[in-house]
Amino acid sequence: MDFFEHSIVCLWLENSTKLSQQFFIVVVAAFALIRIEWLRLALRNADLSWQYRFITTLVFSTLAIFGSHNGLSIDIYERLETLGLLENYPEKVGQPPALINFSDTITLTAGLIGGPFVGTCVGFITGLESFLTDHGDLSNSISSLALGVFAGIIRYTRAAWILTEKGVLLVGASGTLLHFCILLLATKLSQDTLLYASVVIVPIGIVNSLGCVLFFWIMRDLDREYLENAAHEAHLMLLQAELRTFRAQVDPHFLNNTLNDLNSLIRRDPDRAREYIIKLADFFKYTREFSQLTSISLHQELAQLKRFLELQRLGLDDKLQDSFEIDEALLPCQVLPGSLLALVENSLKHGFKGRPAPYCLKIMVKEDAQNLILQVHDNGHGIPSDLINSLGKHPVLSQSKGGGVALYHLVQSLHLVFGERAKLNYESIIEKYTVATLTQPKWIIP
Amino acid sequence: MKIINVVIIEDRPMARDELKYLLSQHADISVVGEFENTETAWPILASGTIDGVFLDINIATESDTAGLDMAGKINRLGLANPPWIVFTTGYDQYEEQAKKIKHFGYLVKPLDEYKITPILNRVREL
Repeated sequence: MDFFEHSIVCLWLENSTKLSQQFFIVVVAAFALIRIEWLRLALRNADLSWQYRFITTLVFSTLAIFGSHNGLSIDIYERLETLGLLENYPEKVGQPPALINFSDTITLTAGLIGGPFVGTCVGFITGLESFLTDHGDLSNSISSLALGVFAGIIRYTRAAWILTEKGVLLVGASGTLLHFCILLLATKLSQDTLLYASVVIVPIGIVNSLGCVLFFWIMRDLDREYLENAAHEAHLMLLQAELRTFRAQVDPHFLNNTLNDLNSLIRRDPDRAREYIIKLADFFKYTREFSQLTSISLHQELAQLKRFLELQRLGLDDKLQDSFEIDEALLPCQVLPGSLLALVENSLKHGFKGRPAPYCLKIMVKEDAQNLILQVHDNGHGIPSDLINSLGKHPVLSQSKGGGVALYHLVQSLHLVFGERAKLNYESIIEKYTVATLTQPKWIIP
Repeated sequence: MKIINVVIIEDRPMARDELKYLLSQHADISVVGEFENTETAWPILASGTIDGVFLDINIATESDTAGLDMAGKINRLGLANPPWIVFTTGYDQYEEQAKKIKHFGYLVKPLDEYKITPILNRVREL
């Protein structure tokens, strides 16, 4: 057919580009609109409730009507004449300049996203509007309605198809064909309509197909974002709850030993026993209180740590030698509840097991640029090099090595509260010393 | 009245003191030595002059099972009058292991007169 000379291809391309430009305005508008929370909710759940269906219908009808009034107005005869193609078409009848637009795209998308009801309503409203304003051209209105119903039915009966770009693209293309079939049937295959159709079918087809895919991407992004956020939030909440529970726990051996020691002390030195009972009560009170908090001041953490060490000394006596080296200016800095305590407990539990006294612990707090550095030095066994790098990275290590769970929870909490910048490092020489270094952002609550 | 000479091995000072106090309530029991680990207690036990020993199992400065190891060593000495052994421990998790070693009693801390008196009554019948 002469019609398919390269000139008409140029015409198609030109119009496709122009129409796409106009359509992209709508895409950007849609992208901006779905940042509105309730609208996003309505679009995602249009098949769930009438309220959401109504909102979705309203949004798409508005967009479609906007689309039907913002397209390309082309005088087909003039364009064909310019390209020297008009001779191929002898019968020139008075056809008004054709307006090609993207309201079809919106109607199809409405059906694909909202289902049969939304598709039908949007198609009907758009068709009615174009019937009332467009000199009573019924064929456009009918095709509008047909497209809405068509997309809605696809969504309802073949939901799996429209989960891929290919499926959506196909729906866009078939929608275009449907539109022109109706148009041609309505005008009884008149030459004029054929001419009109041959010029605009490709631009409209391209915009319909690409447009549907673009909307499909927008919706998919929306879902993904939503699902990721929901999963992330659920995960964080679970983690926080777990960590809170963990922080509220006190080593049962510690409690057991302390109570046994107190039993003995009550007889020997009742006054001192009273002091220690208060200390133990305080230790538990603050453990419980702090476990509910995200962070506490270094000052509070040190006070709690000192309570713990005093209670430990009740049993260990002068075997335990602790010293503190704290930069006083850092006392208001925020730390995780029980973070220093966890490091000290770890030293006592694993560093000194079966090791001759004295057990020396040195607790240091200093700063380095933006970071707060908490350190616990001990003169215990040291940690073998194969184990040292995995400390805090796995939830459970073999029981003989120990230290796994508490340090793992500590690192998890650190990341949760201070981000990935916070870290826990161990440095050790076997049978000489171990240094635990906790580095976290320096943070003071104003 | 026959005097019974005993030794206490216990790493926690408070627990040691408590046991000594409980034993002091019995006129025929004489604590002739108290040690915070098994190593320092070994010479007096090996001498064969001791009637019995209260032996802590978990010694922080030695090992989780230092007391069990010590009991095995005493039994292997082959003394004419080996001392009876009473384990004292904060945990009952060692009971199975302890069964494999000849011993006279197994007491779970905290100790009180209701746990000590029956054991001493049995000792007196030896």
